[in-house]
Amino acid sequence: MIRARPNATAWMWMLAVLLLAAAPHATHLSWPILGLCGGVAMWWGMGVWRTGDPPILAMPWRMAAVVFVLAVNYAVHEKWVAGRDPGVALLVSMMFLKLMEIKGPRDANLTMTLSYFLVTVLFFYDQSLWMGAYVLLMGLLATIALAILTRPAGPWVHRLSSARVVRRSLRSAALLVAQALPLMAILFLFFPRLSQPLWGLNEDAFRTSSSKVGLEEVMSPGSISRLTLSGETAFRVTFDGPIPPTSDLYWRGLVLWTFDGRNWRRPSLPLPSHPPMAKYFGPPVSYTLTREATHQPWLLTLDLPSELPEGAKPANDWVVPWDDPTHRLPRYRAVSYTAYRADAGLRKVPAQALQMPVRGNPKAKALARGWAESFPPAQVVEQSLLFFRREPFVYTLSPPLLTSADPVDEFLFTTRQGFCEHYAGAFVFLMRAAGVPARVVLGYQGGEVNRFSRHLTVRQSDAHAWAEVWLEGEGWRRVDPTGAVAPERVERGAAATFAGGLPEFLRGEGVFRQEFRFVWDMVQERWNRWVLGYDPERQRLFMSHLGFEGVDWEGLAAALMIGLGLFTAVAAWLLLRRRGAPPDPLVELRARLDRRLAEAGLPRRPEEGPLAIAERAAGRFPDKAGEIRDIFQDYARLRYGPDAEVSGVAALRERIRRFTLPKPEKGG
Amino acid sequence: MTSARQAAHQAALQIEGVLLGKRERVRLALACLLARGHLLIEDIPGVGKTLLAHALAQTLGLRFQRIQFTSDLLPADILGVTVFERESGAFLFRPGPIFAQVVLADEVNRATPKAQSALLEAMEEGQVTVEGRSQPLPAPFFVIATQNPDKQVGVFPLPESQLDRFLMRIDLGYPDRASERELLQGEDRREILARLKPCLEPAELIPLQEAAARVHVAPALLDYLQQLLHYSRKTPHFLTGLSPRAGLALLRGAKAWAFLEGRDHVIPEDLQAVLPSVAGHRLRAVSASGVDPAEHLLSAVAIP
Repeated sequence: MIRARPNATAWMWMLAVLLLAAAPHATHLSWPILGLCGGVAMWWGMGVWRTGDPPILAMPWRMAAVVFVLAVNYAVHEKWVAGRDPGVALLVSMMFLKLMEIKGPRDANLTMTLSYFLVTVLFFYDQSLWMGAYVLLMGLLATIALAILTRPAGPWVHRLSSARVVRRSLRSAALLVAQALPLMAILFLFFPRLSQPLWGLNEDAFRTSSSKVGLEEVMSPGSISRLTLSGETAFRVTFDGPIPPTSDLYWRGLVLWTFDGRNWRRPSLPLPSHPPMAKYFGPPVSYTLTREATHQPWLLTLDLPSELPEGAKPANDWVVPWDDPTHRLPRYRAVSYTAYRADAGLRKVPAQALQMPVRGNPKAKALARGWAESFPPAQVVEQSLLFFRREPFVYTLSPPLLTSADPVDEFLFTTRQGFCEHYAGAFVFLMRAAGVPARVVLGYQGGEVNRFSRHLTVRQSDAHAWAEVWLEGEGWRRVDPTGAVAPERVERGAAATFAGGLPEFLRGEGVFRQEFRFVWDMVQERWNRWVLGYDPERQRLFMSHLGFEGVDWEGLAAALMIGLGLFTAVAAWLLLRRRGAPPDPLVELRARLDRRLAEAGLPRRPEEGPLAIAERAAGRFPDKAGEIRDIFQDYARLRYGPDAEVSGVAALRERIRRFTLPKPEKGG
Repeated sequence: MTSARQAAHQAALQIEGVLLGKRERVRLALACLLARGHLLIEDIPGVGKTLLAHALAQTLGLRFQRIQFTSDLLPADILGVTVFERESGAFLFRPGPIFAQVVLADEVNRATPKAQSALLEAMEEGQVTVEGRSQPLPAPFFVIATQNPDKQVGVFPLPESQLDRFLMRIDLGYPDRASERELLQGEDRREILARLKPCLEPAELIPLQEAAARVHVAPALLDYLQQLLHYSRKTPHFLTGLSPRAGLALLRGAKAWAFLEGRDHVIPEDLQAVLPSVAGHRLRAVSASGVDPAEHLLSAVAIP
């Protein structure tokens, strides 16, 4: 098929698609690359706008531009082309440089086809639902641009207005994309999944949110209340059975042992290596937890886990290290018991559970020693909670800064306003000062049940810190001093506690907004579970559902190749058989006229020319004779005349649309 | 262009005034001339064949010669002879009647094939060759041949290959009642003919022919023409289909017709108007069913 030479509209479409495809890359491109691409785009767009043809830059200049890009890459990333960032920088800039050597439809087709690649590369940086939608939209736009660029040069193409070309191209592109969707689904389901990421991508590729928020391995005053301002989802949980009450939903992340007077950290010395020992009571809670992509090398579990995914081995403080090289969405099944006894039979508690700086915080130490002198350890815990409950402590998101050298004293006796990290930290300090082994646990507490899909969504704002004390014969007991100050935090969750001071999205005002939030959360949950969470394991499961057991990825790849090859061959054969120029708009218009006349009882004889039928119709409908003659004369002039202008066809279409003839009388 | 078109229109009107009630035939003859084709008029004697030829020549201001074909006509009678001139002592070519701009070959099928072929060769080549020397014929060169219907006695029917040389074949037919009445009441045709004034200078005709050849032909019309040709070739109704030359002839005729109709492009009606006269003598029905082959062709092919 002969292709029409693209006009200015087509070129501009191409440029627009290219800019839109490259736009999200702007955030990770260095500014010289951005400047180059922007400059080329402007220069090229101006050229097309002025002359209607793409301007061409001489070869040496293009070469110089490529060298420039490589040099920038090396300066910024210390690599020429290898790696994600330099590779993408090269791809984006080469796409724009390609503009400068476009001569005809062939180059344009190539550029547009490559733009699909440019869009797909966006997944290297972001795999959220939004990005998926954007990539799909860009796929449609690029297809439209291709359809415009490759429209056939029929003898009548000059009769189509630009708007009509775009409309037609939109239709055919939508059709193409719709046809591609089943193919996409098949490839998604059957394309071999590898457990190792391709091209050594780093973890950013599998992030679904735009910023890195999450628990840190150091707890200092303010580190968790900062998280509370984030509405981002930390993880989602689907329970097999009923959802336990909120006050039992303690999601264990890290255990912090070492206190330096201000910050709590992981133990500086290795913990004694005894296996974790626990006794479980009550009904088991089994659940599937899907975490938003994270770089945190440990799993979150409901306190206290008994069964963990294969390969996960809990340390004896039930922190579950997990090193996932792919950094995909970790998704795992686990079984926990909310009633348990841990390390009850331990003879010697690790020394780290009593560690504290020798100097500082004298008032807190004195208070704790006072308790220790009068009470046994279990009573010391009660006394301490009583202290928090009795004294005017305030649970607040915006506590005053602790500036003195003795932050624990300052908090306990002066400011008395704090968030969970203040309470947990101060409590553990008091316990250790009183000689009761204690540690800080970092994790999440509570969560929000989605009314639509019955899953639990735990957000960064649910981040929490609590304490564990070790009591003779009882083992580690969870103590949440925050609960002593603000019981509603533990019973109803963070959202209810801070209804006034939280960001708008968490407040849940208005029924509609809340419903929408639930639905949206459910959609994201499904996306994470079914799209991003479709890993080799799930693929194998899916294949065995279909009855193919033990298919390895090589076999899958071979089957896919053969299947797609056959499909393509058949489709190509079918398409090539009925290939032809698309219909002339004037032929369509004449068909419409013929129908109009036939409905009025005056069918056109096949051999009847336009003026002949016009005369016949004018004779039958004398009061319409003038209009009929005009229309048919216009039609004949446009169809057979030398200069059928676009506006003429549009005007004729409009006249035919308004043209009516009286219907023949029945039985007449 | 416009004035030329007006002149052509004026000429058509003038000739119609002489040949009463024959508007369409006069226009076909004029279109044939504008399309640089030769015209064959087939009809019984006395319906105005010669009159039409005369009127055409005179109206267009062309030099006119008439050759009466008889069974003893020799090629030299048409082309001319070389004679020895005693005064100059040299052989001198004396041009025959063919050296005119409009040649009326009357009753062309009464002559022997040998004489006929002399005329037909001249029509084809645009020049004549006498004793080894080529003599160009004047331009424009337009042959109007008349012939009697085949059934009459003493005729040598033109073979198909030679009929093909004529762009159009028309018949004139009897005048209708009103025209006949006017003819009977009016003055002698020959006197009118003598009074006819040329509407065109001889030099004006060639630009007119060029303008007619420039009439626009859209792809859609070519589609229609090709479908007509295709049908004529594949249908069992005709002995032979239309040749490529016939296709070209149809296009030339349609262009000239469209030009006379005042259009700058050809529409299917133009093609349909000239098709019976252009294709009629090139088609032969397998069986004489009474349906004119050209009519059959037109009604069988839909306009795309």
